[in-house]
Amino acid sequence: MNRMIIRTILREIRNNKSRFLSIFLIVFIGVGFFGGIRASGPDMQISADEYFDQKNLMDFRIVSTFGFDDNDLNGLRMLNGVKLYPSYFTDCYAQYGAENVVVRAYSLENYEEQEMNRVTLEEGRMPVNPNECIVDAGTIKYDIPLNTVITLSSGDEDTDIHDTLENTQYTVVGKFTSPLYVDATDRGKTSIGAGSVNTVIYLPQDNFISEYYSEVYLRFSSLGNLNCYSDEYQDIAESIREQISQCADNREMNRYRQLYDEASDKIERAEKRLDRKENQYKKRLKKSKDTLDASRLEIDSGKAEINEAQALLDAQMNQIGDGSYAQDGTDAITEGTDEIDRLRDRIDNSEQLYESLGGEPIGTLDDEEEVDEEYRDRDEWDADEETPDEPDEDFDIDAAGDEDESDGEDVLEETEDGSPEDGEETDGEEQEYLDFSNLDLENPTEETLDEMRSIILDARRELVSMEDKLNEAIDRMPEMDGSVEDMLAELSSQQEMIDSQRDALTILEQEYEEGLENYKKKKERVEQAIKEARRKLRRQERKLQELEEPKWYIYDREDNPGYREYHENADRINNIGKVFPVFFLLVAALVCLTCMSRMIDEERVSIGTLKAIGYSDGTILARYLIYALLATVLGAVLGLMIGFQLFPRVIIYSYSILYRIPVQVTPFHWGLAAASVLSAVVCVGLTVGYSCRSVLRGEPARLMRPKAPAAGKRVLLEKVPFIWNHMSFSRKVTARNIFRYKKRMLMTIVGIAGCTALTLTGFGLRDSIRDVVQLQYGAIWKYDAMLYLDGATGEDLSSVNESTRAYDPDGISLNAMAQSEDVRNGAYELTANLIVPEEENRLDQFVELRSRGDQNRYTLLDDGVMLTEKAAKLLHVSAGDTISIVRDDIDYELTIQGVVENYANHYIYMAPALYMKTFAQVPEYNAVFVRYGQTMNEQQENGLNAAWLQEPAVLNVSYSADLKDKFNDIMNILNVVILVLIISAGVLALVVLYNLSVINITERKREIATLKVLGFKNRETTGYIFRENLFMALIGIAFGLGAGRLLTYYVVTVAEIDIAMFGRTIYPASYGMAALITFGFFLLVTLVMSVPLRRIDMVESLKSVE
Amino acid sequence: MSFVALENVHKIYHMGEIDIHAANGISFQIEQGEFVVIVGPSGSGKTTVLNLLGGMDTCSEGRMLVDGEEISAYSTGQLMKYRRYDIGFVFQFYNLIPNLTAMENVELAAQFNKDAVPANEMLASVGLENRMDNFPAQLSGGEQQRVAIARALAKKPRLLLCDEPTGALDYDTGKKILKLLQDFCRRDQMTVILVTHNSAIAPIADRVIRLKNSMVEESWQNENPVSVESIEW
Ligand SMILES: Nc1ncnc2c1ncn2[C@@H]1O[C@H](COP(=O)(O)OP(=O)(O)OP(=O)(O)O)[C@@H](O)[C@H]1O
Ligand SMILES: [Mg+2]
Repeated sequence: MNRMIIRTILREIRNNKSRFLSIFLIVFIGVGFFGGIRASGPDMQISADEYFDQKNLMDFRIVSTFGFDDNDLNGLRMLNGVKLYPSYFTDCYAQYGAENVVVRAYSLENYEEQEMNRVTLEEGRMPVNPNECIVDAGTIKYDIPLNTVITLSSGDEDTDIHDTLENTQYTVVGKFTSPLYVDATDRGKTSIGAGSVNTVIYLPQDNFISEYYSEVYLRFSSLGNLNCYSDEYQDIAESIREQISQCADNREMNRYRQLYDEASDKIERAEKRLDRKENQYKKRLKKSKDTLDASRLEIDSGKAEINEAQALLDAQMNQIGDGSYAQDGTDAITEGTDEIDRLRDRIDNSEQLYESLGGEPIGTLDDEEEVDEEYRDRDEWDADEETPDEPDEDFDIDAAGDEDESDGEDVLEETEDGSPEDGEETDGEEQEYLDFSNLDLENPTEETLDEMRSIILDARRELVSMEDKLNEAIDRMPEMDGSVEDMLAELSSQQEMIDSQRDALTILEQEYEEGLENYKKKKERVEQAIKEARRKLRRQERKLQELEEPKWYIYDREDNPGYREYHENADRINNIGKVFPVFFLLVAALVCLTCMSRMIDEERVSIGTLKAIGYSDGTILARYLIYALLATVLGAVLGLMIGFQLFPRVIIYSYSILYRIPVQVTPFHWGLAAASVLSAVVCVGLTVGYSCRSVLRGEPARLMRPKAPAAGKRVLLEKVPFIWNHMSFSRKVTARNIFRYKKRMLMTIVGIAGCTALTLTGFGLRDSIRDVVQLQYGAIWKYDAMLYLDGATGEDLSSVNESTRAYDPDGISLNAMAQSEDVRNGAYELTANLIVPEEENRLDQFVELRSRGDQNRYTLLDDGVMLTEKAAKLLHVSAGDTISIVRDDIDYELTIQGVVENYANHYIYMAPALYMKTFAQVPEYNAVFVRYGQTMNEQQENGLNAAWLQEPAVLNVSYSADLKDKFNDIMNILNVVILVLIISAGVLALVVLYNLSVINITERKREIATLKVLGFKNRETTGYIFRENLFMALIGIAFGLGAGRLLTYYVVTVAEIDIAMFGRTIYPASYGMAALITFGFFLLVTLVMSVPLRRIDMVESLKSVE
Repeated sequence: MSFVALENVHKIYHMGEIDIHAANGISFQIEQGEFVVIVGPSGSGKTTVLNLLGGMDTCSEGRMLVDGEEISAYSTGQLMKYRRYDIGFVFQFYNLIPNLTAMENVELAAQFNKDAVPANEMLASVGLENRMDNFPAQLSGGEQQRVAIARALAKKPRLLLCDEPTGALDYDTGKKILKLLQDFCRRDQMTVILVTHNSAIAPIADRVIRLKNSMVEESWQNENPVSVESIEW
């Protein structure tokens, strides 16, 4: 290439400034838009990643059912490249003013910065005292003001917050945003309240009382440098999760073993102790029994003795009475002497027998008595024995065992104490002496001999006493005749003695009976107590068998509320980035094509001349290529520089309303830039080549001749003479011209249609989102407020409803159960709110259940549930299909009765009867829908609010109006996005139209000049040209509205977040606005272009054909 | 007083440093109904003069009077009306609107004048009664020029200006066009001004104006103008 060519190109640019500018601008916009939108998705991810890195967001969070001890932590430390951050958290209620919200309280390790999941202080300061806290600034709904004092209380009656936290009152000293919670509303699920956390607070760690950590955060060096949304991160995270879960299995088992062994040891020890004690008690009882039996015998023999004595006394009395008394005395002595002699003989015989059997010779009676005494002492009851221990129950896991052991022991002790004392020795019992009939004398054993010996001794003792008695009687004989009177006195005193003895015996008998009764009772109680203790042990054994392994729950970033959704949104932007920019590039290519082919047409003569002089095709092509590519590259580079900043920033900013990611990183994407520039260059290059092809193929001679103007052609309209004949010339020209320049027509229509479609998409998107607000809070949700209650009884509910009615007599309310549930259909899962109204036939006063398409109203039936539309779509189900609600890993199947229109969140509506049938439990009504009977001003609403919150059961109240306002805020942000769309669309339209008009005018200069010479007014000439454009613009707008409709559907579907369904209706006003704005751009261009049109010099243009 | 009078008309183009005098003090008079031929070598200022007369351009100096009106003092609006109602123009390259049929091209100009000659009559009078519905691209150069003449005449202009109407045509066709123009001039007593570089055409004119170096070299009245058939070149 020589200098000549360069100079030509530079002159070319100078001479064709507007054309150069056209190409430059269209490429600038096209590539800028393409690059900008394409970069937005990745930039969203990069920004989030940067934010998470800055804040040391955890990669994994582990929670265990038993907490974490040092062994657990050491186990985790074995993982490769891990950093641990053990910490505490608890879910509880926070009460401030009249509000009561469910909070998750995390621990703040020191008063400064945490090692992981660092919070950003948005307002106020960090806590410096243990009773200060910082609260979540991120949630839109629950905003706790600074300096508020909040009071924490536990989530259920069984647990006391004081077991978990030192302080329960905290002053709010600051507000934070946390990388754990990027979502603007969702704070995750919990087991207390209505199932979801409302807001999050951080407390100084000293407040947490627990020997175990409740959670552990982990970060891995291998993940630190990766973009957390990249596939690589996901892959590595997946393998790390495997390792963690192996570690978890290991730790779970070890921890279980440890717990199991400790507990079973304790049980075993307790068992042994119990056995020992039982034996002791049994022995003691037996002794009591023996003693009792002995007393019984004594009493019986005592009775017999008394009776005998009485009989003797009676006989003596008779003797004295009939004078036989003296005679009797001598008879008795004789009889006694005989008896003694007989007995002595028998004793001697027995002794002989005893000795013959090998027994030791029996000594004197006195020696033998001492031995006997020893025996008796040994058998004495030892009442001072120590009291038994109660079984040790320390091992008890739930520590809920009832301690009635002590009772049992009392029983035992009482039994000991209350045992009847040894009965008095009673003498004179009638015995058959020397009766060896029980003994086996054939084979005498040691025992038999002992027995014999003791029998013989007894007999000897008896003999001695008989001899004593006889001697006494002999001594008494002389006195006998002394005085009968004395005798009688003696006898009556004897009678008294017998009576008193009898009385004593009766008392003794009573005592015995009592003792026996007592013994029986005590025995029963002791047995009962032992049985109870045993049962308890069994129970604990069973419990130990049932003891489950601790379970570790491994969470990753995807489980953080909003984390995954943000990713999905970034993907959505990527999807949008695949459609819009292609469209822009297409228009850019079309513009280039028209520009370049026009330019080459205009220069055909000079091209022919150059060829004739001897320039090669390549050189000539290069001239135009360089011209076009210079414009392209300049436009592309500038477009990318601006696009890479503008679009991602606007989009990230817009999303910052929904996701709290305060970092904006918008790098220059070199790869994307290279691809964009390259595709633009290729596009334009091909365009130039295509435009040049006919010119380069032609012979120089033909090229140098003026190109014949495009031939006129009849149009279809002329076949309808009725219309055609009534058209003015200019109209006819317009009609014919429109079809004369097909390329230009196509470009105009595509350009205008694109502009209209983009604008309509902007407005349509806004309509769709406005629908969420207006339909959801107007047509679908007819209630004004919803009250959430905690542990409400029927009385609580009616009291709440009463206080509502007192304030708003015409208002209506409906009790309902509101519970967040996991819903599943095969592999599709989501979380939805289950609503069970107490009276299902009144639900329609508060919530409109209708299908979106045919507006068909539903009523809740007992055999199926209503599912909201977006949930049905995400679960891939429709009416008649089944879904299941998953509770504790159990699937409860439900048939879908109907799919109902709904825009925000997911709901399942269910009749109470079906609820009872499905879950076999009565629905627990914890919410009240309220619909005002009058329009409330702010003051009235505040009053009602105060009245509600005074009810102890009311947790919090959500007002439809508040939510509506919040949604409207989001809407306002979306207006920014719409503005960007409209501006981009407008610039596109301007460039296209301007370019077209320039071409139109230059191409038809002669024609216009001729008209001028013929005396056309300026207005007429302008009209002659722009009527065509107007017509094409109108066609373009019509096409654009159609295309915009489709584009809106597409964008709405890909841009929609899972939790919401955007509207599907584009309002007429939006069509009107889109058309009007496009038309406005058209008028602007017309106005601008009428100036050069007016300036067309007749003299100049008529001179000759170029 | 003459129908057309130019008095010391100057037209100066400023090309950067230098001024180009396309008309350098041109003066002449033309009477009503005359057939005038302006001749001169290339670059002598013929087209310039014609454009000035046609109201397509304004002169830098001097006065131009047409039928007593001083058109050199006209505003652009007045000039537009002047072109619309008083002037018929025939171009060297015909300048028909390619997207209109022959008939429509004639009507395009005729629509301005209520008592204009009907387009079909006009076309018939130029001998194109059978080609009325053809587009310019379907007509030969001569036929196109005849459509152009019909277009110029249909609105019954007071002054017909023709710039090299035979320039792009062959000898015979050129002659036919000249004949047509002469006939109309004679029949309707219309003033026709024809510009050509071909001096051979001069004998058919009532008046000949010879330009050279942007000035009138000579101007004479032809007592016996010959018919077109008798001239040759
Ligand atoms: N727009 C213009 N700018 C500068 N100079 C011009 C312009 N129009 C004409 N001229 C100059 O004025 C002079 C007269 O030009 P004009 O077109 O009247 O010549 P002409 O006699 O019609 O020539 P030809 O027979 O070749 O058509 C020429 O020297 C030309 O260079
Ligand atoms: Mg000329």
